[in-house]
Amino acid sequence: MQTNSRFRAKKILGKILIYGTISLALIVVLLPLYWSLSTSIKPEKTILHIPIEFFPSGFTLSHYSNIFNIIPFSNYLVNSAIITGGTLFISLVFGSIAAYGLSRYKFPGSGGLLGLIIGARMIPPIAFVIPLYLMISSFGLLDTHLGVILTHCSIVLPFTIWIMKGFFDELPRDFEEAALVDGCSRLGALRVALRLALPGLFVAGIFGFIESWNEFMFALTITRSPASTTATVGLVGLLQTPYQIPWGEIMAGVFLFTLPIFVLGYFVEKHMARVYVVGTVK
Amino acid sequence: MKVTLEQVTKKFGKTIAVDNMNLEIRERDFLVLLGPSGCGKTTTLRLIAGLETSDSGNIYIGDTLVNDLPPKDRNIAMVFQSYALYPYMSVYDNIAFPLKIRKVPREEIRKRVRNIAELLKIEELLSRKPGQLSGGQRQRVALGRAMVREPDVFLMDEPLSNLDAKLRIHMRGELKKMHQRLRTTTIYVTHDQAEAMSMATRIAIMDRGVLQQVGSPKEVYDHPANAFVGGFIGSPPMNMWEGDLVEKNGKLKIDTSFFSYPLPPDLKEIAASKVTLGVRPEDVTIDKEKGSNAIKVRIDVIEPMGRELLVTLVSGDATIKMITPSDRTFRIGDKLKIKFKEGKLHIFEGKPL
Ligand SMILES: Nc1ncnc2c1ncn2[C@@H]1O[C@H](COP(=O)(O)OP(=O)(O)OP(=O)(O)O)[C@@H](O)[C@H]1O
Ligand SMILES: [Mg+2]
Repeated sequence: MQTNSRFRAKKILGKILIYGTISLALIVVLLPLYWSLSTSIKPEKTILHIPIEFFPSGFTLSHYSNIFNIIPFSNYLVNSAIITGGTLFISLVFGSIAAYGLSRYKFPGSGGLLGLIIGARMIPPIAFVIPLYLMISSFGLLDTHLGVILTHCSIVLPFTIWIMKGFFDELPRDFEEAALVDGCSRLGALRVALRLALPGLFVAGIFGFIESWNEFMFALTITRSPASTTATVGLVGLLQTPYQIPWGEIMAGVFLFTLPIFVLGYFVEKHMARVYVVGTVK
Repeated sequence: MKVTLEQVTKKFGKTIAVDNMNLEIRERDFLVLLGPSGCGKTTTLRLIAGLETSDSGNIYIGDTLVNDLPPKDRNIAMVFQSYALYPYMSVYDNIAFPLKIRKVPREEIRKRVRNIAELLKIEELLSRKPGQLSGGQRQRVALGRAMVREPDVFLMDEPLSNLDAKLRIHMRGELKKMHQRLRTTTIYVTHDQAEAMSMATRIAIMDRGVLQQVGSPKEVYDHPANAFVGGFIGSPPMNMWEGDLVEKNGKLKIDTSFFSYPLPPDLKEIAASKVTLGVRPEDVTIDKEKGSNAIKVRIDVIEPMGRELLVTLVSGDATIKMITPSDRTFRIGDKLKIKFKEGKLHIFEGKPL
């Protein structure tokens, strides 16, 4: 009896520890989000109110309509979507083909090439800002979607290659060889391999999405006008408003901007468990 | 369709996986490529499939030189050791895949997949995914995918090695039946000599990339071309002793360091004087005559094997395995005289393995 209750106490203590840690992590992660959401619905007067209003005393949606009026925010969101989509498309298509080649064929310098690709990924992007700016400028792609897409690919493409090569390396060749014998060309076999490495494509896609959607520095240097400005750059631009910074609108913009990531997170979470299982190839 | 390999060599860096191989697989053969692990069986099969390119030599399927043909144009079908069923496709789609690639009309595909499924008794599995099948079922699906196209040649790489012993024996029979019905030329890789003996119409034995002997199961069992083949085929393995061939008073005999034994005169052609004497355990018999050339031995170990006994005998430092009917009682330590059955002695040039 004695040991039984002690064991129970230990179990309860363990649970408290686990839930305590999780709650702490949740607070750290969710507080900024909560703050942007609550600020975005506070009436103008109460935003900078002291003492701080943790729970808003009033409610308004005016910031949400204002943000679309004071800046071309819908343009910015569309730009972000086009740039993210373009980056994903280029990175996933070329990245997986490159990764397949690196994984399946040994050629002189193939090892060094992979090192170079991963190395490029480890250098802080700020080191590339100026050279990339000059390149994009000489291509005549300043202030265009494609210009930003190319700079984003410089980050996302190496990562895609790296992830996909890992998945292809894990994939037994038997499947592709079976496809070859069954009547496929090399390209057909690549399709079979890609279908099997789908979880990898998924992981690389999520990473690329987050990376490109959130990217600020390259977008800032390449974009000029509403034709190409992304939401990140546009929102930060609001901080330069003379007189009073429109915190409510900024927070409304931030909340709208982060929403897709959360929607993505929700869907991914359901699939993630499967990704881990399938990723180990059976 | 026959398959011919002409002086085919394949190297991986310094390893010679297949060494100057000449082999003809006749139409309707069930040829088993047999040999120890790493001897180049899979490589040979992959060369025929077109999944590897040879460094030199020619491969013909029928009368067509296929050296530069990609696998898809060779009209071969392969069953992989891992089965390599596409995990994201249903059984139906797996079997239909080779036909879909070849743009066979849908109705025709349906008909042929149904036929194959019926033949292999997997009709009720057609909508399942490979992950939901047992090993034996997967094996049958892999076979179905290979058969559906009616290829010229079947290539199979140890397709039974992932199955448990009982299912393996069952599937051996099934495969044999299948071959008798379809009569498609089949090249089958295994390192299991019992499997080879029971399934093959002909066996090709390889060692370290070199083809050692090709022949029917009976030929390679009764007349092994060299000590390697003699030792590799048969279980328990052949007894072997190194010795000198000597001729005295017109009579031939072999002197080993343990015993001396007379040989029939027809073994005379062997040029080397250093030879290996091989005798299968079932060809060792107890000698009851007096004053013969029998070898004196002592019983060391007795292992009952059901109908028979495997008896390990010692004579000096030599051990001799004997298989004998279990109706006699033996005791460990008993002294016996043995001889070898006439016409069942094998003399190989050089040293035993
Ligand atoms: N892709 C490769 N790269 C380098 N060496 C290889 C490769 N494939 C096979 N080899 C080598 O070639 C030799 C023959 O290999 P192979 O796979 O044909 O043997 P195997 O007879 O099928 O053996 P097992 O019974 O173990 O399957 C081995 O020494 C092996 O290490
Ligand atoms: Mg093999």
